[in-house]
Amino acid sequence: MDALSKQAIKSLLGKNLPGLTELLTALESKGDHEKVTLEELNQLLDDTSELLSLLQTWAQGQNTEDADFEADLEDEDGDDLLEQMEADTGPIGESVLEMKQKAKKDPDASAPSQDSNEEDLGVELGEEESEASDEEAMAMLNQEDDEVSDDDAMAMLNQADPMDAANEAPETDIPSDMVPPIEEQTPTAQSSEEEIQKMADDEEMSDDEALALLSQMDDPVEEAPPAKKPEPAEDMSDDEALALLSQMDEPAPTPSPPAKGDANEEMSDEAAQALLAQMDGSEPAAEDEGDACDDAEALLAQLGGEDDEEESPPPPKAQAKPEAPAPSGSAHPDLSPEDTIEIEEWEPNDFQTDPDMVNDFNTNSEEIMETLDEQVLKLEQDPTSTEIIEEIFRAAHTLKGAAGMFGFKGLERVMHRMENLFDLVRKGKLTPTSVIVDVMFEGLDVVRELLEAVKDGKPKGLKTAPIVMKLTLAAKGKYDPAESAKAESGGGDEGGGAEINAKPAGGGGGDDRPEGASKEKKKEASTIRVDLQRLDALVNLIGELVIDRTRFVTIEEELRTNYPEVKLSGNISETVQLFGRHMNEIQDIIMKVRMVPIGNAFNKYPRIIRDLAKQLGKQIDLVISGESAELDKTLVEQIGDPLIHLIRNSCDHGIELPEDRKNANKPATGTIWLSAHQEGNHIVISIEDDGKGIPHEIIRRKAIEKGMIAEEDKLSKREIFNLIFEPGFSTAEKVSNISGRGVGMDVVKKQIMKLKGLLEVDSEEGQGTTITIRLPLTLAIVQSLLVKVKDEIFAIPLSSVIESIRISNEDIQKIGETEVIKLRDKVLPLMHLEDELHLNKKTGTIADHIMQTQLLQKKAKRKKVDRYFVVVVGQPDRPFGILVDQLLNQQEMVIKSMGRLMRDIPYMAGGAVLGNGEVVLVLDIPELEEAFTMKSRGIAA
Amino acid sequence: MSTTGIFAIRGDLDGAKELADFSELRQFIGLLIDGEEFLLPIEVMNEIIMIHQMTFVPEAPLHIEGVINLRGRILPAINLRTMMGHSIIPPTTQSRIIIANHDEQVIGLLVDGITYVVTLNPDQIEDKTLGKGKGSELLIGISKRGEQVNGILDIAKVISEIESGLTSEDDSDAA
Repeated sequence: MDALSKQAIKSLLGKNLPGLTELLTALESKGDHEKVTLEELNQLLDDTSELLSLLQTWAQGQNTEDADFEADLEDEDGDDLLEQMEADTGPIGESVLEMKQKAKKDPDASAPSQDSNEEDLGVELGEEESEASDEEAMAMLNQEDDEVSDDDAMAMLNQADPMDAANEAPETDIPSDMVPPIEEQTPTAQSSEEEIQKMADDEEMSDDEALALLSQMDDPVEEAPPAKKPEPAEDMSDDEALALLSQMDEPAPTPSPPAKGDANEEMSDEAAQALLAQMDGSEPAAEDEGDACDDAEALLAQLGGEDDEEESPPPPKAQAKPEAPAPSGSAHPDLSPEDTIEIEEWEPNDFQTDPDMVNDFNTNSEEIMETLDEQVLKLEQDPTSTEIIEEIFRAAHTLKGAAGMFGFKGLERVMHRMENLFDLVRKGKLTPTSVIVDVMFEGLDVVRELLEAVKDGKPKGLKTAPIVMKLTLAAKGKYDPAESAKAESGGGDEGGGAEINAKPAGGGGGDDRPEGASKEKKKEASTIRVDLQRLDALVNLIGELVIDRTRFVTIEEELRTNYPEVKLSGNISETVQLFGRHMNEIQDIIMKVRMVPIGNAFNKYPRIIRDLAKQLGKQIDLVISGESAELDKTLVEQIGDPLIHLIRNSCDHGIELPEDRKNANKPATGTIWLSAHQEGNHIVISIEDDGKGIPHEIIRRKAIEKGMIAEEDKLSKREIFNLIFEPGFSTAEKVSNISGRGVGMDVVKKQIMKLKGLLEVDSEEGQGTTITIRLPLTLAIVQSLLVKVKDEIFAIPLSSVIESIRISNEDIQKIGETEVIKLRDKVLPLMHLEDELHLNKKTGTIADHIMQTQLLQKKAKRKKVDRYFVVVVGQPDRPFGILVDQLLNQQEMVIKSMGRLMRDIPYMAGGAVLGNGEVVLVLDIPELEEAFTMKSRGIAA
Repeated sequence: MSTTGIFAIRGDLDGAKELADFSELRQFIGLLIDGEEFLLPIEVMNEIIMIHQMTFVPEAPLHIEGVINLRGRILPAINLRTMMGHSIIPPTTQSRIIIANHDEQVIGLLVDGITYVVTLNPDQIEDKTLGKGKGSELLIGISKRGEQVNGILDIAKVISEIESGLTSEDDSDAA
């Protein structure tokens, strides 16, 4: 078999395979329930059978010994591959036939969807399809990998990929006058690396792709000859030889896949060339890596990435003068034109208008961004870990693919560059220095903004060119941070690891990948994503059920005590008990469902600290522990902002500059410990730093100055620190060396209070500061103690209750104005709830009116009471007692808002409905405590 | 034949006219405060309930009697009587709570009684409010049915009145 016919076969095969892949992908993406049109199936079937026959022909050709071929493809492998492919294609053909038959049976049903299908599959494929097809093709081919050896897979992919790109060419409307410039260029082309790179630069192809292409070629010199070798037999010209080199980026003006005949002939040469180039170039690389999949994936990734460039071709000017590096005025010679031009942020398509799809995209991209942030940070610390970079790469690739599918061009473009950068790192061709990581983060920030735009539902018109330029330069190791606005201390050429010479990558890469993949799979299998709204609805309903349960209990009690003669009462008692038990279980489970690890909130902090540290010129370590402690999702969401504020404060005002730290005999790197642990019904989060601490004397003086406390007030240290949470403490005027320490602290405190949490500061000057936050685990359903004060019933959340005791009048002693009792040798201050809540004056209400009229009779009764109950509440180390008239019982209740008009009622956490339908108010103990300590302090003074 | 045709057309025209008028008719619920009848646009009203358990809320804004439980939902109950400057009286058998909603807020309005639903056409409604009588700041207009003149209550004004009391109270607390 001569070389020409071999090439022809190759090209035909190459042309058909992606077409088939595309079709399959299109079919797959339609999902199960959507109808497939007859036309599509026909085409699929045609392509499949054509492919089969081609494979057979090729297999025959393969058996005839051919030296060239041997060099490219080992015989055995090739045969294996062909057999495998034949075997694999057979079933495809069969299943397609099956599908076709099905479709025939149901022609009407398929008809309505035909229009849209045609749109999807038309010659002018939208970028989302081509993007998807690449990915899907990879997925499909990867599946085949299981059966075929890696090398085979490699070869297969190599065949498929360049052709894929070639097939997509017609979509791009690239003018035919593109060829001449290439021709002009040919004579200058030398078989040297630099030249190839230069060409790549000059062409539409982006630098990083050129790099990637080159890096795949083990020996560019060897690689070049076949490319330039004239092919006299065909009407092959220089430009076709060149096409080989630019195949990846520069789609040759080839016909669309369905078109056959003459067009085929024309195309075959270029395609064949490209194929050869691919095989020559990539196979040795694959051997180096010992991981064909990786390489194939990268290749595909690059191809996927090209789509966007194809679809947004640079202005014709840039094409006309390929020698000029960047006609659009780029300052850097390493930048190609398409790096510097702006593209439309969005390209409208059907996916964008589907709210469900966009929602899915948003949730997924959020997760991906979290992963990326986290892993990139890890990468900086552990640049050699293949596992980390693999994960990054996978995540980036997924996001890019999705962005492409949705037509978010700007996002796709940036992600593509990022991915290239990650890819170079992955291959060991780029060392992730802090400069490189900075660029990555910068890229991620841009991506985040672009994602925000997606969330807002309209493009923001963000500029992507600047970051694309940076990323491109970074990929080439030519990024100089000094050039950018960001002031950086590290040298720009640290990233010079991006040498084009292919460094053999660590063999470990191949081992890590499947492991990571299986891990991901496991994770997927054990979790299910549920719409939060549905979950909330469920929680609310269960809350109602809890109330119903308590009602049942009330009814059952009444029945049992008042009508013991009713036979059924026993049965009812039993049923009610059982019901109660089940309800408890349901409640437990639903509460657990809502619980998420607090680590979800912590994830973003390493990144924030890193950025802050850089910004402030400090060295800060963040040590996170206890991130597995779980609490209610809404709490995790809402604790994020206050925590960021506190952490920022620690960075900004706690940790000193490295020199200052050295002077203070501390290590230059400051540390912030962020930890969480569970304590009973609470979760305790603490933020500790080893910074300079808070000078409490200064705060005290400031507070006196502001008239918040009196000169003679004797405040504990803790009380002094609590002053920084007072509104307006340091916002108005700043104390020099603690400036900012209190900025927004009152807001932080308010937020924490809203979550029924407590906030506490402790600080040792020169040693550091510890801020502790105590939060209840959940807010939805709480166990509460019902108490009666002055005929009013209140509920006290059990999580705040330490104990309840009974005392008599004589036990009460007075210290100043404050009443106290002695409880186990400790002094317990007492609070009269009726005074605190002014229960004696219900001014202007009917209740007051009634009370006034009944007062005389009641007074007589009340005088006699000399026994009280004291509910000991508050924090374990600082309890206080609430005097109540009666302890009623303990009940589970759902705390509800009482409406907008009632949201600012002091000391009330909300209302709850009791079993008898009565509304009871739930006391806000932290708020009461605060008021009480403020008051008692005032009294003490 | 021709006459019936004309009549038919006339009939149609009348029907169309009636329909147009009908769309402009507005319905109100009549309520009693200290013996005086006021009207409340029916579209703000959800339902009318009897007064049952009401929970006193300490330190609640002025004129809020407390909270009630409406099928698991906790709502504030506003005493329209005191809001209009009348004296406090214990609820009678005639007293009702009108559950009204405005801007996604649901509130209960405690009234001395309910009369009936009144249908008014536009020329029976005047936008101006009369004088400075008790509660006139809560009115959005007046209705005239023959000799009878009634104030039309504005739910938004009722709520903002309570809220203004809320903020001024807060201010005094803060000071």
